[in-house]
Amino acid sequence: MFSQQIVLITGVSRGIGKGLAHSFLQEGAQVYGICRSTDPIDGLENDRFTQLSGSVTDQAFITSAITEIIARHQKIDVLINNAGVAQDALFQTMSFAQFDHVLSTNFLGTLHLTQAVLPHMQKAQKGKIINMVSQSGVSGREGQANYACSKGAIIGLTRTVARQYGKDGIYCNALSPTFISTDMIDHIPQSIIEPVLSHTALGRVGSVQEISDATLYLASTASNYQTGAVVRLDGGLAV
Amino acid sequence: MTSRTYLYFHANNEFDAHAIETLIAQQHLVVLINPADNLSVQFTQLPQFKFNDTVQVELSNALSDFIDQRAEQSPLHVIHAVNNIDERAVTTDTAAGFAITRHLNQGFQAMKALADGFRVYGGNLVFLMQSDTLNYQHSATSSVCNHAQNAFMMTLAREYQGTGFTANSFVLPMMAADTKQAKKRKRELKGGVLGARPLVSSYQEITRYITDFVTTNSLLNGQCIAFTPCLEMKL
Repeated sequence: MFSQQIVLITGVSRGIGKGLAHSFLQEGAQVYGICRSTDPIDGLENDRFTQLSGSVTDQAFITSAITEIIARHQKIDVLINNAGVAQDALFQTMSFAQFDHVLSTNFLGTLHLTQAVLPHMQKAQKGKIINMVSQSGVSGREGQANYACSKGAIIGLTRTVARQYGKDGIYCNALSPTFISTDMIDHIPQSIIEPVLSHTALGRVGSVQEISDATLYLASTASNYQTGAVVRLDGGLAV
Repeated sequence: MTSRTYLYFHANNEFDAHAIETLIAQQHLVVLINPADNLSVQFTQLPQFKFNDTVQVELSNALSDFIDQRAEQSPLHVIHAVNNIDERAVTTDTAAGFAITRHLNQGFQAMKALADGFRVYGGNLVFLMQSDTLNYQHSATSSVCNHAQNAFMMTLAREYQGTGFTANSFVLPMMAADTKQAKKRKRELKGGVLGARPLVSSYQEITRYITDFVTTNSLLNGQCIAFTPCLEMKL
């Protein structure tokens, strides 16, 4: 389905990002994966995978990465902004450093990559941008004033890009997962997860493959009348 | 009338000036937090706290102490003005992104200074916003800031649930300075969005509604309430 397509994914070293890279490789895409780690990523040993090691907050690195991809392929078909950090704390005890770090990494990282890729998509008059947000960004969450704010900002950005670039054939949508079975939820006590699951129609956490399937849909021509949407992948939370 | 304390965040436009003048005329105390320069000068007689996006311990303590003194005498009510961050270049200019994070960081700093006060004294926080969906005149709105603050608002609403503190947002309608101007503006608007006629309100109507809400609301929490035609799209 994605043969000959150039897909750029951030945050590929583990969890959802790694799963996305694997899925797009299986579908024939040429995948560029950004992550901070310089170690080769287990399970992504593939001729069509290129690891670009650096931080999404480093604008010089982003510029260099995009320049490299464009020089080789003259296009980027799909951008998936998946990289993100969390530093949870209740608002009364949250420090400014915690708020600023999460907001800057998550929002500015997504923004700078989007700004770097848009001119190339505009020139090609096509492109798909998918932003990984969170249920926190849609309806807030205790202990995540910073994370919720950053993901809410990305939702606003998603809508802005969709509105401004729709006529250029560029799509921008967001995926909003709740608890997905990755190491990012390992530190969350069951006492927090269980009440959420009790209000979830499917009664379970989601899987990385389920997120990948939804991402493949948004990156494909099957979603060609969908833009500016926030697609909830929450197992029917509070439905 | 019981004198109240209103904390007004980021006051920056004609509506904010009207609202502040109305509250002053009603003998309430208005405290300006991070006001725009023009309103800071216009209301120089009011207590003002100006946060930047670095840690300002002394200023935070000063605001917190001020609230502790005032709360003994009257309830606290917080109105956050419509965002005036220029997001028109957000998809092309890195400076726009930094302006957004600076604005959100400043708001966080000031809110943090009030965090304990909210829990101890209760109160109401309202974020005012303009819709980026039903923007009839296609003018720029602060979509990124709006959605970021909405998520922040809902998180505060969850964390403070049951303490007597509530947080909500209002997506404002189009407004005009007075009823006559509002009617004129409505006549000038052609058609509507999906067949719905746009609402145009006067500053007086909206000021009265918001101030009544922040002083009487104890039930609505974590809601984004739109003064717009009944469509699924809100913010």
